[in-house]
Amino acid sequence: MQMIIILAIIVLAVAIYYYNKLVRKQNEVTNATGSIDAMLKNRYDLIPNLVDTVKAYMSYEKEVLGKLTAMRTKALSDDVSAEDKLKLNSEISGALRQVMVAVENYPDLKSSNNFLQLQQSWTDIEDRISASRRFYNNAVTEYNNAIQSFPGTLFASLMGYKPKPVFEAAPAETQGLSAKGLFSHS
Amino acid sequence: MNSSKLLVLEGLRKKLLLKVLMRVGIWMAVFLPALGWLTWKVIQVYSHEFRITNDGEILLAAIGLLLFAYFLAAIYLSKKIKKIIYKYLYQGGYADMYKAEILVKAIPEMLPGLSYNATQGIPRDDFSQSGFPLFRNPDRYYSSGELTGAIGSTAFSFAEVLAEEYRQDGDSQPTWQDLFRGVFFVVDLQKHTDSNTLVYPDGVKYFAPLLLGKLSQEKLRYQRVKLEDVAFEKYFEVYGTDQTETRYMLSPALMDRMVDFTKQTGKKLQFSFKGSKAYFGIYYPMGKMLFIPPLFSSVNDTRTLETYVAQVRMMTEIIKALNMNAAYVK
Repeated sequence: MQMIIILAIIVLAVAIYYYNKLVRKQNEVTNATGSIDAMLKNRYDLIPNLVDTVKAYMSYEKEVLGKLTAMRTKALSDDVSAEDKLKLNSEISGALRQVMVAVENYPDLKSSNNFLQLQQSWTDIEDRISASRRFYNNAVTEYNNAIQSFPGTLFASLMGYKPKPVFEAAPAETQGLSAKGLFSHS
Repeated sequence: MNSSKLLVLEGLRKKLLLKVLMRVGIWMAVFLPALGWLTWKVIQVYSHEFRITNDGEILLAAIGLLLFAYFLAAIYLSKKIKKIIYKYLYQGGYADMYKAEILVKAIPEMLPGLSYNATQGIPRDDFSQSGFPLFRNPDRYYSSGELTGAIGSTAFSFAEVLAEEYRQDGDSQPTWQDLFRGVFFVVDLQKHTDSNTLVYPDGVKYFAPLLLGKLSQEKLRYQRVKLEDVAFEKYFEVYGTDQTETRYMLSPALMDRMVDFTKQTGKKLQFSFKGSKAYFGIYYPMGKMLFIPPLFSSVNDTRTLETYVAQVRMMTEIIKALNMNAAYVK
């Protein structure tokens, strides 16, 4: 009888430990997701300012600017699936990059204080987005390791925890992440 | 530098060498007879025992005891000699003149863009507000030999720093314990963080909770940040108040450079990112200062200077990485 009680206590202690561990890992992933969202929000906030500043100068890029504004509006709306949002953000990143490259053709714009400030903010935001993605990937890797290794896998199936995908940046996105690389030699 | 000043400096070096040799000689004069006397006594006592018992193990014990005594004496003597050399070479007429006459002129030539100030150091406030919880209130603080410069848009200054804490446990003799001994950098970054990121050499994790335990409020603020770079994690461990901000400050390129530096020099590095500044310290244990003027070779011998310049160059590689890390368009 005593043995059974001791065994039950051990099993319970292990169960509590793994339950808490998995919940902690899951919370970390939620935090990291929140962090990416917060950083992306900063990027959305930058777009109207950027469009206002550059549209007076840019005559050939009206289409990209219009697309950028539309994509921002769509990304901010609630009826977009997570998958679409991911794709949308990748496109926003590409369009922003396109605008920043196009600025090279407008020397007055390139040297205006307002634009320089925006460019600095953009670089900073892209760096922070990159950092939050690294945080997210790290949290997801730890979470996946925890739920896919024994005995975590037993608890994960009971708790309904499933593996999550890590963030893989598209090639264009990866370039966009090193925003400063675009200008460091200019 | 004109030759008369060089002659004066060389004269000072020779005088100092004589002084150091005399001090070392006095210590040796005390130590060697004492060791000789100890050896003689041990031989006397143990050979007497051996004659009575005829047990070979007694001889082995005697040899072991003597080797142990010689070992302790060698450690003590080498520490004492280092201390004597360090004392004369770090301060005093010769060291001051060497710094004022040679370093001030040679550094801008050998390391373009850097300037040297023998008497200035890293201000105590910069050190205590660097974000490292243990550096907040040093009881004694010295800093001198400041180098300042800029790489790209990143301005920096660094100098040798000694920060100590006055410690007394119970009735024991109070002692001065090192909080930091080495070279301390203050780098103006072009990026800003509201959080604090601390990078310690690997291994600190075993006693970091104890260290931070002294400041339990602080301990709660920091969490261990595990980074994805395996090589970096092998050499360092990171604590931060914000996971994303920590990764924002520690770019992959910067982490690579920190690993390279540690591999190449074997020195211990610790970093803090706070506000718009990066602070970092490179540990130089007692007797291994970044710079001491030559004692056993002539002042015209540039080897000491070259070693120093090579080390400084390697340090500036880290600043280059910090500059790249925050290279905004100007």
